[in-house]
Amino acid sequence: MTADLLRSAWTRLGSVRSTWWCTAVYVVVAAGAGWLAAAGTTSSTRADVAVAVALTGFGFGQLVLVVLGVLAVSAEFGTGSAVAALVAVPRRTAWLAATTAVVAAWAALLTAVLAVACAVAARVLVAVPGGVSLTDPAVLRTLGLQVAGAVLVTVLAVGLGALLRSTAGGVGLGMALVFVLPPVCALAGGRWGTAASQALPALRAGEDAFLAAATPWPVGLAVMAAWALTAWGLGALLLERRDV
Amino acid sequence: MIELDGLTKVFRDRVAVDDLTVRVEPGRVTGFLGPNGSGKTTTMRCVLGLARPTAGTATVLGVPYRRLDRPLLRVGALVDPRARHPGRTAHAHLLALARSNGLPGRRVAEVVDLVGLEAVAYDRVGGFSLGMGQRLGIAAALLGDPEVLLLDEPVNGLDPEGIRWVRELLRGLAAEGRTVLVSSHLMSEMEDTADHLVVLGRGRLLADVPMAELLGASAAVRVRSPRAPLLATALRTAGARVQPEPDGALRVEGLDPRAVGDVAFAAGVPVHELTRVVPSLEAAYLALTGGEVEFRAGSPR
Repeated sequence: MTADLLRSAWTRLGSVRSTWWCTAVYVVVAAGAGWLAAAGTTSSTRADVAVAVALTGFGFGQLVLVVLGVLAVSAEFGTGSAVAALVAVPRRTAWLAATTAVVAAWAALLTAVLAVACAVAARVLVAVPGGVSLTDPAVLRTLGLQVAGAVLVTVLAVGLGALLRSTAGGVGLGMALVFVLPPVCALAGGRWGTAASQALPALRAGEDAFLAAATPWPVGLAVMAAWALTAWGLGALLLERRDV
Repeated sequence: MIELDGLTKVFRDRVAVDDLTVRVEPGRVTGFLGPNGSGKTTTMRCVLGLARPTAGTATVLGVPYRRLDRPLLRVGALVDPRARHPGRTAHAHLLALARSNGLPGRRVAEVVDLVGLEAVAYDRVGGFSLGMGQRLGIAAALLGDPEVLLLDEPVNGLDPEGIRWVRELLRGLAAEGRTVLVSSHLMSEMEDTADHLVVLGRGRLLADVPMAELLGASAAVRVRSPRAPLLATALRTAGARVQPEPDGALRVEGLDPRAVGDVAFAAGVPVHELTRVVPSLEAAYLALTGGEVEFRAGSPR
């Protein structure tokens, strides 16, 4: 049953153009911005910092993941296709879980490949004492955090899609949460501004949060995960309860 | 078998379905009739687990729909011909549904052939006409070769050839012993399709009767005689309601043709015509739903 649902979700996501547009834009933004950032940095003292700079593009790329995740659910409701899908699969939480698994796996695969490519760019373009080794634990952790962050942003977005059922609403709220509010709060400064920025689900890879208040990475990851799981859980709950 | 027991659905301030208790039996086509807005679609959505009843229950094959594992293999449904993503091809739309219930990909090609969409199977459904959308919806309903079918207004937007095709398809499925519930707001579409009728008005059950009974209830006999006044008196004495028609014949209600012939014979009246008049289903339906129309167009002044 689970394998059937996953295969069905893959067919559903792979058969709409928006999935492939999002994929193309994500690759161009993440790889392009990463390469530019690496090329604009001549030297760095630490390998993981050099890699983190090369991953700058993901700060913008996460917006594409928000669109991808929200659309995975909201496009079904927006077009009425959800009626057919949920008649075929009345176990709605299982349906949402399969959809989430497929879109998150796709985001993870893309991010892993792109992040390694960015690390290679850092190795080639940035002068670091001792060079950038891809097997350096600090570099691996930075890359792993990037993949984890991408998965969590996608899960958050799927949850928002299920919660709001609207593409405009889901994408708007998702972008506000991960891209607009964290830097706004950080810029507002003060103890509360910084705390608010740290409590928002900003994609964090390494000690420096992208445009948000700096947070130790385990805390950042936990905050991100809490947001993603809460949004997803509420989305699943409402999906079960509401009429289609 | 579909069973509704006290099914009620209230939307904020509007009662869409009001205490509906009906059993839809297998082996026959059950027509689900009612004016626009009478609650047919809401009832079907409750049966399919898309909407939660405010009160009462709806079961399919003895269980609530949402408890069915791989429901497409048991129940096929057409709820909304627009229930599809316009960017997907017909093939991808059906393949995603088939896979979710563990059905093989070749089943998609089979139902596409069955509904006559082979030529456009790999076109995006956004460009489909309403009729093609209906065929796609019927294809989805037939994917799992189900024993129960619920079709909401399946012939809407179909051409005459398509309407005849749906009619024959439904009659064939019922003849195989399946349960077929098909809704329509047009009585004429049901006339040659349904064996049994469930009629709704403002969410309430108005009739749950065999087609023949609904027609028979308002049947009449037309009789012509050169001595009409004498015959009319004899018929009234026998308990019938008799009205003269403009052409001199009599319209008799309350007696069947055999009884009318016997009365004429006993009275020694010659009979020149004796016909059973079956009203159109449309007339029977309008008589039934006349006061229950939710949205009535005003008459021009």
